Amino acid sequence: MSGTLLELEGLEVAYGRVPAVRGLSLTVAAGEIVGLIGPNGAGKSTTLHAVMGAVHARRGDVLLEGRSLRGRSPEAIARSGVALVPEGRRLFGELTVEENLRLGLAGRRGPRGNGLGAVYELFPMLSDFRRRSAGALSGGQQQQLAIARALVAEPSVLLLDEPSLGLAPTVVDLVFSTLATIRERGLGILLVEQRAQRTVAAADRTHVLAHGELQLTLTPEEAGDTDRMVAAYLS
Amino acid sequence: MSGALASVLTDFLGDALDAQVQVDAIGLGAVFALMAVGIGLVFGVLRLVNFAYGQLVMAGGFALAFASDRGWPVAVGIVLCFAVVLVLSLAMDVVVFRPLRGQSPAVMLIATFAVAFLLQSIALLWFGPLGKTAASLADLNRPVSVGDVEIRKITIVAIVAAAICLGLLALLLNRTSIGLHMRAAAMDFQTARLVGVRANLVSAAAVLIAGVLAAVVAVILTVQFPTVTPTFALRETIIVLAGVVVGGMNRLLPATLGGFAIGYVSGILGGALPTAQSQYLPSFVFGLVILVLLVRPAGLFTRGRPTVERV
Repeated sequence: MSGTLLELEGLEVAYGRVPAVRGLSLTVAAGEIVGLIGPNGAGKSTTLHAVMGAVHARRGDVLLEGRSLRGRSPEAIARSGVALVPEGRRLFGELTVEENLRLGLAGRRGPRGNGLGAVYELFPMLSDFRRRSAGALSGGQQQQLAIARALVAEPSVLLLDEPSLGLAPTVVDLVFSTLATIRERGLGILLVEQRAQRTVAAADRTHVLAHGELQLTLTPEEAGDTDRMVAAYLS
Repeated sequence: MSGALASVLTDFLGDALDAQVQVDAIGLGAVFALMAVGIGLVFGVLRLVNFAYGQLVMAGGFALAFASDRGWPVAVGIVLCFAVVLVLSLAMDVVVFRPLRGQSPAVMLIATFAVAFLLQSIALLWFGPLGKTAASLADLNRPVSVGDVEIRKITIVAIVAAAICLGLLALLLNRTSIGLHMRAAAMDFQTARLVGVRANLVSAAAVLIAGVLAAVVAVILTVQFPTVTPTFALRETIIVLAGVVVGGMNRLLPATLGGFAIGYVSGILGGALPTAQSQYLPSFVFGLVILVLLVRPAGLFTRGRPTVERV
């Protein structure tokens, strides 16, 4: 597919003898948001960790702009243009906001330079709190920082693991509007979420995962089709 | 009876507060603080208690003795000491620490035990049980008079060297990218890797910095104890390990303070105990260690909340 940034080909992951992801294939192109929804334990987060090299893929492949990422270390994958916003944000709470952002520079492929201006522009709040400990920020502010840290690396593909988890509705709106802005900049986004309808409406297409298998793919026009969504969840 | 006890305590306090004893205790605390930083830094980043740290100091000591034996200039001996310790540190990281990354703490501890005894056995084969003498820097044992106090030059060197090393380390950790990466790796190694921090680089940096500190300690200890044997620095390492745990292993500052404290207390007890009772020094020190651990199991210098940062 032209413009394809990330491609999963028959990805299989298992924890011991328990399969977590079974033969998952999907693509993410530049300027696209692809949703990944499903019940707890469906294999959504495992898929993202397999892309990042944090868990071992038993079979299949993960391609970034046509090049296989299999067997590469998490830091090598981060440095090749894939950034993850992990579940629970996983900030370094005792470091300042600016230090957390500077850590994002570790994943940047090009010259590092100053490099934080663009994220301060996107999240002005972070500039105001740059000397504050990340752990002292509110949940919404921490989520913005986690997204900003990933963007500092200037990735071509952004993976997000439940970015709206535990946030107030107004902050969730902010997160989704930020994703729309990031998409306009040409990044490919793979979004794992529990807010199913919201994700289907925001994404170019959304895959429903259950028991590690792809059950259904939905378009934004099908965001109201809760019957099919529920059936796929329960499959 | 109570009068005799009061008299013993008065004598002890008088000796402990003596300026000479205080300076020597601070000097010992400085050396132990350097060792504590070396052990604490590696533990912070790799989650590994490096029991072989003392054998790095021993190897540095033998390098100095080797150079001294051949009559090489002091500077060459010191360069050789640093080179040997750093090469061994890097070899330990590449051959043992990296392949075992992610294994259980017990596996890694036993691995460092094995490395420690391997290095000790090699030293025994090469240099024999009586070891060698490093005499090049013996002049530093001469005292200088500061007021009424006679201070050995090496004590001043130890205190100044510790202050410089710790200052430089603080600058490195707080002002450089590699320092930031090391601090992040110490807090959450997996997440640090996911944002692009190179695991091998931060691991090697921690091990090499610890190696530099071990080499500095080797130079200082060989002045104080010129006979280098295969068990050189072993006793000190065990005491410092206890100090690191007493101070608080999860953070670098409490670990360093723990190392300093146990060195300082050893120095005070060593200076104040009557000569006839000096063989009881380790019993007193480790008795205090047990007491502190019973009262403050998380560490004497940690704040009363769960710790997140490990460096």
